Amino acid sequence: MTTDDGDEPLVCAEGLATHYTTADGILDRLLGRGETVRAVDGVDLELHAGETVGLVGESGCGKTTLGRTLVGLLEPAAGSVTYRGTDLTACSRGALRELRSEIQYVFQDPLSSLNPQLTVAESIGEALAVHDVVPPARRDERVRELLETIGLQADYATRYPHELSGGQRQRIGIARALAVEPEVLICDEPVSALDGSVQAGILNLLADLQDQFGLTYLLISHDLSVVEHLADRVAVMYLGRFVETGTTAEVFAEPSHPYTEALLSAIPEPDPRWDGDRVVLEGAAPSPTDIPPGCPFHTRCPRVLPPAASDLGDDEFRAVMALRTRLSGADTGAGLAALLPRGDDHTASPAALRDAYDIPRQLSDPDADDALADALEAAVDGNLEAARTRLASAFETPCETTEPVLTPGSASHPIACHRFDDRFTGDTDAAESGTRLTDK
Amino acid sequence: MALLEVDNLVVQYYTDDGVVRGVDGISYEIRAGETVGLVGESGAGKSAASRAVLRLLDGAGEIVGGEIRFRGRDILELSADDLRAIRGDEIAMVFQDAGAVFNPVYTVGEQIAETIRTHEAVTDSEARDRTIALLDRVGIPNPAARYADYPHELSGGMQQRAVIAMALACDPAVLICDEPTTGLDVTVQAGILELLAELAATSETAIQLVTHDLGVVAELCERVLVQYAGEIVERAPVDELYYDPKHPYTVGLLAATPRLGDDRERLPTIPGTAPDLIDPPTGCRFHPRCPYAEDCCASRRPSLVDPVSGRPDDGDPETHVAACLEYTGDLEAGLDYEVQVRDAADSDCRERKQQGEPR
Repeated sequence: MTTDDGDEPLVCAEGLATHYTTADGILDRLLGRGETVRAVDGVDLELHAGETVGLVGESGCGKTTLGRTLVGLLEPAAGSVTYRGTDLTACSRGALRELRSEIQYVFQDPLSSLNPQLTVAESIGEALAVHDVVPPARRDERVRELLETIGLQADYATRYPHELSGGQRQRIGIARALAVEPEVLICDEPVSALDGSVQAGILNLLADLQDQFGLTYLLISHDLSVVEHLADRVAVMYLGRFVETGTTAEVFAEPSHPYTEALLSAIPEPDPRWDGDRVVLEGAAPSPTDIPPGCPFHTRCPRVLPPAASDLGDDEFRAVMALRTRLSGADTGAGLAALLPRGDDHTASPAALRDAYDIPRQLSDPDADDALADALEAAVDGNLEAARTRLASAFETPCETTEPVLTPGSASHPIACHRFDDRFTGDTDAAESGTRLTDK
Repeated sequence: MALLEVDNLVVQYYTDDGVVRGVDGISYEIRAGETVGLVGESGAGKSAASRAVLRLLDGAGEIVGGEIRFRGRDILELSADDLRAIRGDEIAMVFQDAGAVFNPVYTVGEQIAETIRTHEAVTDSEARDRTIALLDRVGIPNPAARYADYPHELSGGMQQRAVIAMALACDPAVLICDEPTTGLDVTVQAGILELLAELAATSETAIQLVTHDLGVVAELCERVLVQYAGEIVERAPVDELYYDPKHPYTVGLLAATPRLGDDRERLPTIPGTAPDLIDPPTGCRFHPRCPYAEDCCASRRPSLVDPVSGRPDDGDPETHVAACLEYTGDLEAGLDYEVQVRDAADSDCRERKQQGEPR
């Protein structure tokens, strides 16, 4: 995500990709077994001085991998990360270590990122010593100052991590990151492990520190209400790519990517009389070893587009898509049982299948209806493979063939979705047809 | 007579540092078919209270006082056999960490079928069919194939669904859900909450939902109990708790929750940390953190009273009660907070002032 306000970004990632391999051990690697996990797959991101960028998405979408790649903890497979014009990926280990005092990382779980054998003063002092921030004689004094900054009394310096509460530990994690006087803090789920009242304290602390030291944050979180509270700009990530970026207000208001809509609507609202519509996504996110073609979100998208050539209504088409998704997930040997909900009588018929997926008895497009009827016959005969191919050829959506792009550069609020692309939507105005899900 | 009655329950844990009173004299009841939330922060004793209902406390914990009556029978007096007959059959539990519930070396379906076979005289194939129907009921696609999956082959959300399926195996009268969605993605959580809401609406099963998330409670529950430091400090129907909270702790919790669309610069926090239950504060346990605390709060222990009349809890679970000295007329300055309700439609704010002079 980029902005066009002209000033030089502090941290800039271009076409960044980080891949893992599932190959386990040298034998697997030699034999070429194992798949590539495309955890981060071509991401552009800019962090400007003094701003907070929120990074949101479900677990497994590559948020943490991106954060770790930005600080040089992971090696990117492609693309570059620059800090004030210095390319981190080309840096020597020594140079990278120097730069670590500029970009710091606050880990999600403070209990596992603090050494249990070191006192608070030793943990923070270690950072001071490694980067030689203050002379040894002044280190204790500096530790006390830091503790005060993050809102703990100086006598906490002699305590061990297990003697602290979760919120206090997270404060120590922040103090340790601040010790080297960084410009940029990457905060990875800084409050997700904390109780509500404690969480508010940490969020306030982060805001105060930003005011005090002019810090730049990348705030990684799955909790959109936290991100909305702190972030100036937001990037929504799905399967290693950004699907929507923009200022917080733009991203959280309509129109937005169907995935953002689903994330927003999924947050339980602490108001018993709230009765907004909730989008519940079907299934789990696909594995990043096998990213769906086209739009990676199309397998779960509640707003998949019908083919431009067909006369099908959106609802009809999505009902057929639900059947297609279930078909492609079913084992070939599983038979019809995989398609019908249990508890129904087992008299399988095309009509029963239509009812089970809320597909009308007669589709509005006769050609499409013929194809559907063929496919259902095949399915009832137990030939799921034939049904699958028939449906795939007759109900091909642009979402699975064409990958939507996140228009870079000029647009301040790019959304990677065909619904916002005139070529695919025809007359229907995507922004208008998208009913608002969270009116708040 | 309510289905489940907990009366003055006291649970102690014996640790190296001393005796921890995790649950200190809580009483509540759950009637057939209703959904009751038990909220509080970690360390408030929510899980201890819930596990005590099935006498599932681990080695260091012990129920030292009180009664737990299920359909009038005291669970604490039951023999091991009688207790086993109730566990999983009449009262079932959904644990927080779904990954730790299933034995990794048996298939998910087999473990659910085992529960059915234990409690009912069924053949293996009947148990299998019922298991598949259960997996389908909790929204697991392709249930017949998933029956033979091992726990690690299911995603976190699917594992939690399978845990719920296992808890529902014998159609329990009470389902105790301990943080059923903590640790899941919001998108997955939405699916699980929908499933629980549907269960609550369509079955006769009563649900006791233990959580720290006020959003989850608002979504599912009819009544709420707020627990702090081992005690229940407020009990109310869900609407009243959110729109008219009476205990300063509840007010603090609600205010500290970041919400979409709020434009507060800073979130109000509850100062301090939850007290050490080895040596809990005297008087009102919340007084060291309470912004309205006065001298009397450190010496007098408040009991649950009706905030309007100041009369003691009449035992009717629908009554809104809170344990704060304000409502017995002991505070001089009173409480001073206001509840803002944002109207979803036009973002208007309705405001209501809490009685009592401003400080």
